[in-house]
Amino acid sequence: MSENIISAKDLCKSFAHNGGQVHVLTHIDLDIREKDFTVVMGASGSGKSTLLYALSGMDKATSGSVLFEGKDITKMKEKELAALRSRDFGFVFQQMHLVSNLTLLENVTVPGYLSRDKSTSEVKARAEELLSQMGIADVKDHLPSQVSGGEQQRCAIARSIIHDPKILFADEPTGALNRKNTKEVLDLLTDLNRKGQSVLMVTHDLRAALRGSRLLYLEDGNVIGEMTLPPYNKEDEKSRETQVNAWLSSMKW
Amino acid sequence: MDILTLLRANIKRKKGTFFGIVILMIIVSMLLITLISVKKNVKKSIDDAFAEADAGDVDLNIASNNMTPELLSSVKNHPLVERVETCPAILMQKHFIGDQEENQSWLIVAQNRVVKKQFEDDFSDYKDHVEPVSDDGIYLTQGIATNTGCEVGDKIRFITRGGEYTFTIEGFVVEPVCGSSMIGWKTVYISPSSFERLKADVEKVGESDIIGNVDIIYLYKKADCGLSDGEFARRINKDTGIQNFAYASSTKSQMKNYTSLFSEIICSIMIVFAVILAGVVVIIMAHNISVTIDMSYTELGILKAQGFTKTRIRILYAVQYILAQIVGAVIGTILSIPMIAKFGGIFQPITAIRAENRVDLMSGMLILLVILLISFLIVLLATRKIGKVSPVKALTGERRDVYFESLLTAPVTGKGLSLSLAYRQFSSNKRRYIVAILVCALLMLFMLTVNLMGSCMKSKKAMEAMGTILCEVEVRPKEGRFSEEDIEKLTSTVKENCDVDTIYFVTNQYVTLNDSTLMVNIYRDPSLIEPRSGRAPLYDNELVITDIVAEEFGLSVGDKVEVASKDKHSEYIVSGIYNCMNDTGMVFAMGEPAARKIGFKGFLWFGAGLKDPKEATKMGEILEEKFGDTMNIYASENAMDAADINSISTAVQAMRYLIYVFSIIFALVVVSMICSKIFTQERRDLGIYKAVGFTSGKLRLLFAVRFLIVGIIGSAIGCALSFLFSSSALKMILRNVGVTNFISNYSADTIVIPVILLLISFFLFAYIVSRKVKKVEIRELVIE
Repeated sequence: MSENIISAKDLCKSFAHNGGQVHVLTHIDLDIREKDFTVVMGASGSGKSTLLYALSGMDKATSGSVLFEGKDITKMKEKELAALRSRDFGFVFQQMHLVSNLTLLENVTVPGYLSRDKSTSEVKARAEELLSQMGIADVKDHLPSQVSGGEQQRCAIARSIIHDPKILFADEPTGALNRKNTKEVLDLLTDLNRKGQSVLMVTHDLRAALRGSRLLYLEDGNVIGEMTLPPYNKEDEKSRETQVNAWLSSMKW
Repeated sequence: MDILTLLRANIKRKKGTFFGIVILMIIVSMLLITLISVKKNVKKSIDDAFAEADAGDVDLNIASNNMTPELLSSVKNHPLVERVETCPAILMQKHFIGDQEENQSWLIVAQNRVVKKQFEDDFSDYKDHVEPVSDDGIYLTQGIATNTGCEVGDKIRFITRGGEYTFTIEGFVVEPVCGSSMIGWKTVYISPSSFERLKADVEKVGESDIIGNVDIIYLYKKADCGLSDGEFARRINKDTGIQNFAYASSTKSQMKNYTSLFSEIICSIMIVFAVILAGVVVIIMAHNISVTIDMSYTELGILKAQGFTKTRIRILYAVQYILAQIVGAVIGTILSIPMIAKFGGIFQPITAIRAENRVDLMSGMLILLVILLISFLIVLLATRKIGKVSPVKALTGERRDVYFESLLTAPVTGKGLSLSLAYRQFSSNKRRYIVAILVCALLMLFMLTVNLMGSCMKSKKAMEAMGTILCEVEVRPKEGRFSEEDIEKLTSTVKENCDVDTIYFVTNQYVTLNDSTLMVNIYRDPSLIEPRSGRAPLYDNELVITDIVAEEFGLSVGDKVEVASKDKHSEYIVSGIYNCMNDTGMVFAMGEPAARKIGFKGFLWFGAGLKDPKEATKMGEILEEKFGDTMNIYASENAMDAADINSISTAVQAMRYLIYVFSIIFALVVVSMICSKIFTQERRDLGIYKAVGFTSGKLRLLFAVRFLIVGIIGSAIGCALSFLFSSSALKMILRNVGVTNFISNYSADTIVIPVILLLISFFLFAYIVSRKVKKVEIRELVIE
């Protein structure tokens, strides 16, 4: 069994609302394992995205701790968190969120330059390689507004892994894509995971969930169910779908 | 009512913009009302002082022995003359203030009816009444205090052949005609008994060039004569020849002009600066409106969908911005009240007259009204695109994305990431920064122009090109004039002991040129005069004139003129046009042979320009040892020390700092307003950058570097504009002080200081204003 890459202990997150408090995450204890393709599912408003942002340090937890390599990221200062994002974490948003005045290649290289692990030429070569792998090398010098949503999301994935992160967080990465683009993006994530990339993805899309090797179900801010699957294989997608559907039904999905 | 509700909401939501415009308008209105009021107050104080002193339309200083009863009666009986007043005086061209010898021409007068106002000892106000001066005391004008630094209690010594007279400065009084520090002649007052004593002594021992009994003649023209003071003076001289006998002569309008000259120039420059700032406010408003419309597209669509017409929305915008301007104008007007007292005081040491602190509300309001009207029109123009807002597009979000492509695009590189990324942010949306660039360029142009004005006063080369003779070594005879022997000895001594660049023997005197009294500079070696056109006056029937004399008398090279002094006169040909700042350019020059034809008496000033200025001290010591008994020696490594422009330099420096301060405040507000808008527009990008690992500090640095780029471009444009226009603008402004050949003296100091100042301001203010970056949460990128 692989080691834990992230561990959440007694994690809580509340928001002020109408003079009161809304508790979105309530005392969650959770381990995310290295090299897993972990998928978090749940109904709308169950706190999936909030959990993802709390675990990735993109948002501060109200209480509890999130340990990454033994360090509590909830206690980290802005500079340490920034270093974490530029070195160890990768993030893919539902809306691709590319910087609109940078070309696709530059959107990928800028975070690479920031991590300072590689030389400028190495970062550029790696970015071109990634864009090529993602099948968008021919539009690398285009601006985001000049390419399709699928191409933008593939670029966003390339950006998130340019610095070889230890874990890749993905928040509904196919939420804004059509069927064809969805498949392409999921194939990319699956392929990355197959090569050893730890992935934590939030989705409410069954097709996306099928790619996971470990499925978590969230309800009212708590993890109420978990399912483990063998690594994704296209041939057994049907049986995988049946298993997942049955599990989701048991979760009252 | 609905508009009022929206107006309140808009102001509340866009407090930054509202307060930005308020601050800019406070500065503009405060500056404009202060400057207009001060300009008017100074002018009025001079007019009032002249009226109170009953100053003549023409004043003449004539040696008593030349003032025959026939001459006086010919003037008194002239049909254009209303009346003639005379006042006995003693001309004293050498005196000591403490131990410091001064060579300014003083007319010593018995305290008389002209003295109507006396300053408190610290010049803070006037005394209730003028106290009679004691027999040992003397009253001076503030202009003397400005030029020499003397104060109440200091001793003044006059040395006549009959003995030494010591007086104590008992106070400073207002003498409007030549009390200003801008005027070389000065009138000082002693008690009637002391005056009689001194006068009798001067009569007893005979007169020399530096001491003499003089009559001051005040000519008053008839109210219906219909002539200007200058025309009146020329007519009187043509008919009576009285000016030919005068040591000096001046008209009332001339002296008023000299007295107010500097305040007029400074105020005019500052008013232009304030008007440019007003233009900047209007430009910023237009830019702000344009950006706001783009950013509020959805809200505007909703308002339209709810039934708001484009006219109502445009009125809403107009009211919002004009209201901010009105609030700023009102506060600025109130703040101008203390400013008028403060700023008006700057000119008192120069005019030697206290100005009132009255607020010229009428003119100020009129100008502010014009600004508001122009602003209103600009707002209406800028809000035209509200008509194009489509409610459907706005509500469905069906708007074209902003398309970034630019010829100026440069790659984002790993090395110098901050700089290349900041440049990309700038180049991909240049329109956002055009206003900041424009403002920076205008501020730079103004700062450089004022710097040029200040630096030319520090540059020997520039001052010489403008017609000032500057030498490291200067010698004046203690008595009389240089003899031929003196001239030869001085020349050989200087030449033997160091490398000399130029040697001058010069003197000046007042004569009439075509019936007008003018100063003539007489050169022993006229080839040293470097005319701008024509040639130097090498022959005894030639002279050169300044541009200003050429214009005033309608003369050009080759014209003939009549020059007269006392009973001698001769015809000369204008051989060239030269530059000279003496008497604000109302001056001409000739060689010694030409001067002999109108009664040349000898040279009063020797100057030596040294090839190596460091030898000045040594040369001074040699001359002191050899000629110290009979001559006054002055030597300095810095020839500019001799130029008596301290009070002017101080005022120019004050103006320079004032413009720096207001430029920095403007830069702050402009950067703040533009930065806030950009921040709102780029909030999503900031979130993305944070998500990929940028810290707030690094993002703020990107903002700062971007504005540094704006500052560099703006400064470069400002410098280019300055190279193109500053000299001509200053030439036009300084023409009033006789400068027709302004030499731009761009130096590291002139350019580097304002450039660094603006760049630091843009960089620093952008960094400070972008502190809001800290508040951008990555969570804002999440769509739940």
